[in-house]
Amino acid sequence: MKTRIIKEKYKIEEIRPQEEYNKYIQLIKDDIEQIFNDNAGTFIKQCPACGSRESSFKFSKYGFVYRECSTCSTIYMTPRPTIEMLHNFYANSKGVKYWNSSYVQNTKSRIENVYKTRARWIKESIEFSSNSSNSYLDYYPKYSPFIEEISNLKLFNKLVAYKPFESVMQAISKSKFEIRTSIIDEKFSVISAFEVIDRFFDPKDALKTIYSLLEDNGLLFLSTTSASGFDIQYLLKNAKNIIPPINMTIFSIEGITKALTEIGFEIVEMSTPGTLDLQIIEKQIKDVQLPKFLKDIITNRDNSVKESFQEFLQRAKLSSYMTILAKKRK
Amino acid sequence: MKLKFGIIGFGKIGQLRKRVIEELGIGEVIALADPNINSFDIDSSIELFTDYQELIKLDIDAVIVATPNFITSQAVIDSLLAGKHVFCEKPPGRNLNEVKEIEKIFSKTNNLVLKFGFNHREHFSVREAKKIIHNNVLGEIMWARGFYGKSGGENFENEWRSDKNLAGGGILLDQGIHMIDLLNYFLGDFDEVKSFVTRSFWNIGLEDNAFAIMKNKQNKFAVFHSSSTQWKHLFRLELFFENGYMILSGLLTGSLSYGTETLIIAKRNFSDKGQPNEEELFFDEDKSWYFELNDFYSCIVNNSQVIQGTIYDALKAMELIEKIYENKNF
Ligand SMILES: [Zn+2]
Repeated sequence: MKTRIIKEKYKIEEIRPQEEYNKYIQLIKDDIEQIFNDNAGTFIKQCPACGSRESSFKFSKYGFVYRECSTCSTIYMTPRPTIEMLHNFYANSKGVKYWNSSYVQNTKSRIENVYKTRARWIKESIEFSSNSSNSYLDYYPKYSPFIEEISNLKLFNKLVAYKPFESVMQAISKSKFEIRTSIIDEKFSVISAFEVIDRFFDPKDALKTIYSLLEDNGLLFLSTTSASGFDIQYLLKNAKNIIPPINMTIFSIEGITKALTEIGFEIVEMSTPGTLDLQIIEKQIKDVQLPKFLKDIITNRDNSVKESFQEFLQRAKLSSYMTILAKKRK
Repeated sequence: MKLKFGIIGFGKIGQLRKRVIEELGIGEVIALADPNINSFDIDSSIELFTDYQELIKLDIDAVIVATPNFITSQAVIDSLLAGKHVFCEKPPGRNLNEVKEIEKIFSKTNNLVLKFGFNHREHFSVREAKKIIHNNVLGEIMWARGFYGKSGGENFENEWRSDKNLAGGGILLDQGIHMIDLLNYFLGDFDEVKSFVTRSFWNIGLEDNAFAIMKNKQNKFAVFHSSSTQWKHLFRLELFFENGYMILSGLLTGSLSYGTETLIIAKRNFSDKGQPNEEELFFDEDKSWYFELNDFYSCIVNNSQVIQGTIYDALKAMELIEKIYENKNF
């Protein structure tokens, strides 16, 4: 297995501008009130990552309860919105629509630091076997700059957008992407699922679907928030990237590893190439109870120490942005 | 299909090969030959010989040659003449002439597989770098610098490797050959060589340092240094391309003494004041021995061509080494 460490320097506000983020959260809170109307959904009794039945209360946010699996430390929402409720939410949410819009996503910094980085990761890592169809599927695409970056790579013979969000329709119409809402008898060499796997009622089921859509030796590029991440571990409900009802399953490194290998994936790369954990904690230092040791590092040490600490987090797979490259075993 | 293997030379590497054959399940080791074979505690179902000539008379499919250098080429030739497929550890002989003799015999055989153990090609950092080149992430290669060195050790002067008659060459032939092979692998066909080959410290009749600057027909350059006075074990290969660079540093070996195996990747960017954002990959396992023997096995059962570690790779490495030795000054 390989692990990637990246050293890019940018500020959290560049990819998550304060004003836009605040508006997003306000819209999501309104959505929750209108769409969920006090119905939080159904209880799940097993950890969606490892299946364990042991868990304990972790925190609640906007009326949704998160528990932590006692076996793998995955944090998951229960009760959680049913598939129908989620359908209704994504069809009507003003918050999701706003955040996915090109107004928020098509900024220079997000293109450079998020979408180009993802496309480059794919370009560096793909390996087609001799009988591969060199085809690509993006699972629930929602951000148009990424559609453009993948199109620019010119690596694939076929590009498919599976159940795309409204926000990418314009970008898709200008690209060679084909749209599918269901797939029969079609297999893909590469599938990407960025920031999506945490949003399903049953994420393992989604991973199984992806597995079935891959050719033998096909590759899955996945990114999601990690419950093992430094800022998540300390911020919990104050973590700005845990937004109910969207982020329902915050996988731990151990949880996602178990889920993927049980399905039949071989993990080729497991990285947490996040560069922002320390910055995020520093900005929200009033929201967290930090051990004195960590507080010292953050408040009393210089930038070079903080950079080494962030690098250590990546090396130890303890940053909260997790990327995984997994191969479908024959 | 399981093959019947014989191993000639049952030192550290011969023992490792036996274990890998068994773990891969590609065959059964039915015979071993080594002058000291009676000092080993070996499963009684395996036939043991002190003379490899007895081993190659048996009904076996393939032979692993893992002997000290002075026996290697003759053992390969005798095994080929006995109709066996041969996997030969590096170096393929003490000098170019010995390898040419192997080639002469091999070219007259039919349907036999001959593969040489340039296992560094199968290390994950090297495979990853090759893939990145294949995916054209960084453009054309321009030049490389390869450094490989070890510290010798307390008993170094008394090892067979330090005996001129048994080894045929010093650190250049023993360890440097791997770096020479990698430079051939990444740049290829060097036709001009300037070098210094010297004995700086160890009281042996062989070189303990070799320095070379090499140019190939496409005007690509390499700087090379092989040393047994590198007091801290070092493996470092720098590859520079038109649009960026890769640095392979550290190597995951059995002794874990060459440091974490890493691959640094960076893109050229003139606005970064000479400090590009580097991406670092590190690898937590060495499967090179498995990849090599698996490939050897599949070449035999599928009657296909060897791609890595061919007789031509062996000849090319030995030709370059012979050119570097032309300037031996002790
Ligand atoms: Zn769990």
